[in-house]
Amino acid sequence: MTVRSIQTAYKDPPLLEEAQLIDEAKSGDPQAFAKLYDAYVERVSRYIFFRVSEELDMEDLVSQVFLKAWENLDRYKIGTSPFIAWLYTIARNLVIDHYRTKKDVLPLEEAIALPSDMEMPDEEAQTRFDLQAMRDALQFLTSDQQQALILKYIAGLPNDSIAKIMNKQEGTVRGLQMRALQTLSKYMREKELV
Amino acid sequence: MTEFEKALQECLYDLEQGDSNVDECLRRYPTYAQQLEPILLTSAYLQRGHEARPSDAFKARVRSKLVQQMYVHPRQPARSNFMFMRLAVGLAAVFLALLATGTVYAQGALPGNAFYAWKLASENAWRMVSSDPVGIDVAIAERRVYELIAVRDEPTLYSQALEAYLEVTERLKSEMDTQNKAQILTVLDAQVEELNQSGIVLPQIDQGVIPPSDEPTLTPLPTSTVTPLPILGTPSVNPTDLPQIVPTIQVPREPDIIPTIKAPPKIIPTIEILPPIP
Repeated sequence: MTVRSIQTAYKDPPLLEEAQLIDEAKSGDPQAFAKLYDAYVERVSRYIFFRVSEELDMEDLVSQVFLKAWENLDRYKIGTSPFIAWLYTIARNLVIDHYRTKKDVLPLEEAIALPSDMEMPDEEAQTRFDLQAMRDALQFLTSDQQQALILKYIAGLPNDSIAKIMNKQEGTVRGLQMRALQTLSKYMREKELV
Repeated sequence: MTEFEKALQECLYDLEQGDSNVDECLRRYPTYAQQLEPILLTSAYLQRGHEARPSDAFKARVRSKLVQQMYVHPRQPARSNFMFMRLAVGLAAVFLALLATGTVYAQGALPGNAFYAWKLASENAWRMVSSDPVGIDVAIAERRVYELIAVRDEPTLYSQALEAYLEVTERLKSEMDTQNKAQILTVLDAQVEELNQSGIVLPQIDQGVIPPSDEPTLTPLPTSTVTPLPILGTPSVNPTDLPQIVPTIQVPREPDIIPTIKAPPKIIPTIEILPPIP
């Protein structure tokens, strides 16, 4: 499938027994929470993959997201927003804290190597290249622009959910996305990626 | 918002909804096609990002770390019960505080006051838990004397106060024995004197009509009519004469049997209120 033919935004399927698992996890059942982890680990890992550039940090951050969710599960109210949106909020805050405390961020050129833990479909070299290029390109955006694009196009969330996660107005999120796309498209064109 | 931005927004929305693809959007806006193309392609390109996924080894490592941490930091399932208990304890504390405050406030209440019944109830509770009920009754009698003096100018309230005083003196009488008899009588004499000095006359006590008998006769009263008695003579109390006699009081509102000793059968006790002594 070529980029030109992409017609519908990607959306993850909902987890049917989510509310029951959350209730059981709230009662202290680690197995129920482990099932929630299995359901959402790919989405959380994907978000963090495009937000940080170091492989070791990624593993640490993903585990921290779920551990924080486990510890603060009482704060999550079923029905107010999707559970995955709550996980993205935790992930977003952890990434911000990560960059706030980490002074020696690797330059982009040194962080290009694709983490071996991110497995690409069909192991196609082109796909691997494209994803890494996308990851690199996103580093040229501001933190807010990165989040607005990743949550929209990679996580597949609607703008009202993104606005809640980012604690911004929906119109502000749309503006961030449009400016980010214009900036990114210039970079992609220079790199002849699009 | 410029025309270009409107076109861009519309195209992005259509792509998201699956209503059109990049080429269809560009054909719809030929004027902006050159500017729109890289942006729309970039948005479509970004959607391929979901193809990235962690390996099974990565997921297993993080899962193992997480499960280990969950057992180190187990959740407390009773948090909601804990919150409920905190709320219940808080409400109980507020209730007790209000009860204590109300009880303290009620101690100064006089007959006719809304808190007077609370005061009497708290006195009963005080008496029940005390190891010295006679001492408590003596203290309660003192309170009634104070109340009688305070409301002497208001007949209705005075009647209520008198009834309460008579009740406690009756109780004291029933509690009297050889050991406390002298003490109780001394207290009652002093109270009668205090009332007399305030212009309040209690006829039966004044006259010292109680014989030195251990078994008082019970004289039934026919009806409870409020008939004024002839005004008795000037109140006179000689405390030194009292140790052998027990003060007896007839309650006007009791129609059946009132313990008394030497009360006239047809005469209903009454109270004479003298003007306050200047």
